[in-house]
Amino acid sequence: MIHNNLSHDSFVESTEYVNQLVQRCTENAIREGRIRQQRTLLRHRMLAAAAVVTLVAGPLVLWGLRDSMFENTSQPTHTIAENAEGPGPVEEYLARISDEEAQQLIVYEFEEIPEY
Amino acid sequence: MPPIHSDATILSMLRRRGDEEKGFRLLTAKYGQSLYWHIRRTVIGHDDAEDVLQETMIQIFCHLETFKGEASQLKAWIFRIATNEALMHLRRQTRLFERIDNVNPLLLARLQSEDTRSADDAERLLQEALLKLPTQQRIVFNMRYFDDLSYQEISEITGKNIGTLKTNYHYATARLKQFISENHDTQ
Repeated sequence: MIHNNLSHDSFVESTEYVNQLVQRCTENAIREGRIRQQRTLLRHRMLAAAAVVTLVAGPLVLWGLRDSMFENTSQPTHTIAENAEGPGPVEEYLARISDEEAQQLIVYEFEEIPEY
Repeated sequence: MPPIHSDATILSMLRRRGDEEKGFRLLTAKYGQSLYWHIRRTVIGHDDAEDVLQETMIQIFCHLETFKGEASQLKAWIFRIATNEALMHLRRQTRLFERIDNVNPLLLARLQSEDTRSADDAERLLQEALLKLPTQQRIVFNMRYFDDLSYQEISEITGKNIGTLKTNYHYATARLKQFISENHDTQ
């Protein structure tokens, strides 16, 4: 191992200094290594959870949207008057008044509105 | 001086649940010095070597579970990680599409600015000559000459076949001799 001694002489750092450096790097590596392992584990768990949520929620969302996706819009909508039960206020009024008064309503509708 | 454990003992400890940290400490105690100097000869600067050594150790610790080889391959495995980290460090100092050897002038300047008061002229000249080599050739030379690794181990570290490594080493030696003989006379 004489060659290592020759190379060591080229630089200042002593064996003792390098030993201390190696020890420091060792402890740092263990600490940093544990942190990276936990980070990787957490990332894997989050990915797994996201996959599960997508698999479960995806079909539920599609199921909820199916009505709006497949709804038939060609049928006419019913008016309020047609859906209401029984005669409305207009029909009741016309039923109470005489034919003469009803005729005047129709005339009035098409007369020119006087200016006051 | 603490006892040096065999690679087989260290590996069995690394693979035993609850003993990974203890095994890792034994591993770095045994190979830490060698790793540092291997990295240092690649990146030259001490600060850079410290950063690369730190990252190397983190990578070793984080990937202990992925090592499936035998005890005899453990040293080559950690040296491969160290070599890759050192090369990545050099790569980060080059521009996109630039060759990694383009960083050698920078390393030479760093070498000349390093405090080498304890080095003699021959040592300094050798280091300068090494920086004239292509990076891959320099790394192979360092591992063979300074780290005293076998061609088999270097092959496991670099992924190159033994024949290529021997050729690389032969050419590296020839170029170093030529450089030193040319520049030694001028000093």
